Amino acid sequence: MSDALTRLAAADPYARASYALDVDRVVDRVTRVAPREKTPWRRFQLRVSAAVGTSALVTLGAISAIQGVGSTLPVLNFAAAVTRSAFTTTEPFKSAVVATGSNVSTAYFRASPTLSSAPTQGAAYQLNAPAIPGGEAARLASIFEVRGPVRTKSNHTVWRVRDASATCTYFNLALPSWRYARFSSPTSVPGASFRSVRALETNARDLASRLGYGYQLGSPRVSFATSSVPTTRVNFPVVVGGVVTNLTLTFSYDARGVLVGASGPAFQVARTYLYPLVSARGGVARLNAAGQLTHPTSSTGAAGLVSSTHTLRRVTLSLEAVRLRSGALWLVPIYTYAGGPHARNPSWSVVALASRYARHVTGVNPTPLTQR
Amino acid sequence: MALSREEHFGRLVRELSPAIGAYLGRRLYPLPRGDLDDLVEETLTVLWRRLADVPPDAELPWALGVARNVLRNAQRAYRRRENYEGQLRERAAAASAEDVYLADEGIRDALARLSDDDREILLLHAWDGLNADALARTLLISPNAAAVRLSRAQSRFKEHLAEVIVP
Repeated sequence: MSDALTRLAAADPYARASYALDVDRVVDRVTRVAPREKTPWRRFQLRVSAAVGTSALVTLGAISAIQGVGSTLPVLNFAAAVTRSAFTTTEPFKSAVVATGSNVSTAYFRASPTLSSAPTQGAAYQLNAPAIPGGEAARLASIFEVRGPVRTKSNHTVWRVRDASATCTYFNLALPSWRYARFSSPTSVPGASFRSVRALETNARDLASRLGYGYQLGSPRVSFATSSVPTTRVNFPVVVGGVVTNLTLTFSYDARGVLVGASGPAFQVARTYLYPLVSARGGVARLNAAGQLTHPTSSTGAAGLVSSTHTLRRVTLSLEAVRLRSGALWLVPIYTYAGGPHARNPSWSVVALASRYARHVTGVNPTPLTQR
Repeated sequence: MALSREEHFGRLVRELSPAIGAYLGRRLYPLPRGDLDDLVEETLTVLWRRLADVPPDAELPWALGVARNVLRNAQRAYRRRENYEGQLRERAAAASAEDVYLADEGIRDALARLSDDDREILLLHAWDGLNADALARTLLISPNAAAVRLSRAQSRFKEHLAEVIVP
């Protein structure tokens, strides 16, 4: 093969990507519609029924899209949590019931009477990563106006476009993410004198909307850093379906209002499912179960191991990104409990899905979830 | 023992859907994964309806031929929408799918200079791995015509690439 054709073959963006679908599900869906011969009478019937049914289908479709069908809600086999602080690493769940927080294993939790005992519902989201990593890097680079070829490294997990003044990187990792960094601040930027915080927020929102990922942004938190280069950082919590997630979108500006850095997650919501959740009090029981399960040799239960007892008074529902054992990326509802009214009080988190829809893994041995 | 119709279809889906997804994904990027899944499923639905017509010795070329038609329909629908939206607002010229994601600028420019027919047969061969016989099945032309068209497309591509490299 000539050099030109070798280069052409190497330029295939799907050469190292793979397209996979849920074969059984697709086969089931496609084959359920049996082929029928379309006679003129049949076509007429179809047109009439289509006209009559359209409005009903639109309504039903919208409802079923978000609710799924109760009996067909996927059971989630958890494999690992994506860390809150870094997009680039993963860490295994520490316990069989996916509880995080300080000293879960040595604490006993008591539910305040203010916590509800009524089961509720909450949405979980199946996410899609960008299909072609190199293409995603190129798309992001065009948004941030970084011009250059896409290069990859680290076993095709890092895809980068770089020019004389900035880099734009797409990380094809457990939680797909992107990062923009400007390392050569221009000496003069038209219109880039001092910009108010509100102007920076507006600019950040505009950039975020151009990313096209489809998730929403919560209220921004603005912070100022004066270490080496004074920067203003605008942090947006990522919001999906009106619920805040553990993910953030960050934009950093220098003193003249020039964007010098940005980062965030890269995903699209593929499907939405409405799951039954345990009650807030049920979540507390699950926390206690976590403490017990981290000490499987104990025969006395969590109470026999406790070094402290916490009364949990507040609970918030949020979404957290997780990888399932199948490799699928999801946002799942999480309860986060706190004992005291202040932000500095310790907090503890558990998956809020009803037990029958969640399977958790400790090490290599899958452990069915048991709710006390 | 002969496979049932459902089992036959299940085997085809398992074996062909990665290639169908890759074929459509290459040509429609950036397309949200959900939309790509829809197009793959549309292709598979045609496969299911016409399962008896799938030639056992050319399943992939036949399936890619179906995907090609699905792709054209999707592109027609996209253009209709774009035309409609274009009446409402000014829009920057959109880059082709290849333009957007090709990292090798020389390759990108050389491809852009090819005709649609040349680019299609060249990429079906280079990226989707179809030989002349399979190209013939996909494009509904004779194997001889496919070989000639591919050879000419390759020659023109090399010429364009040389022009890109030498300023």
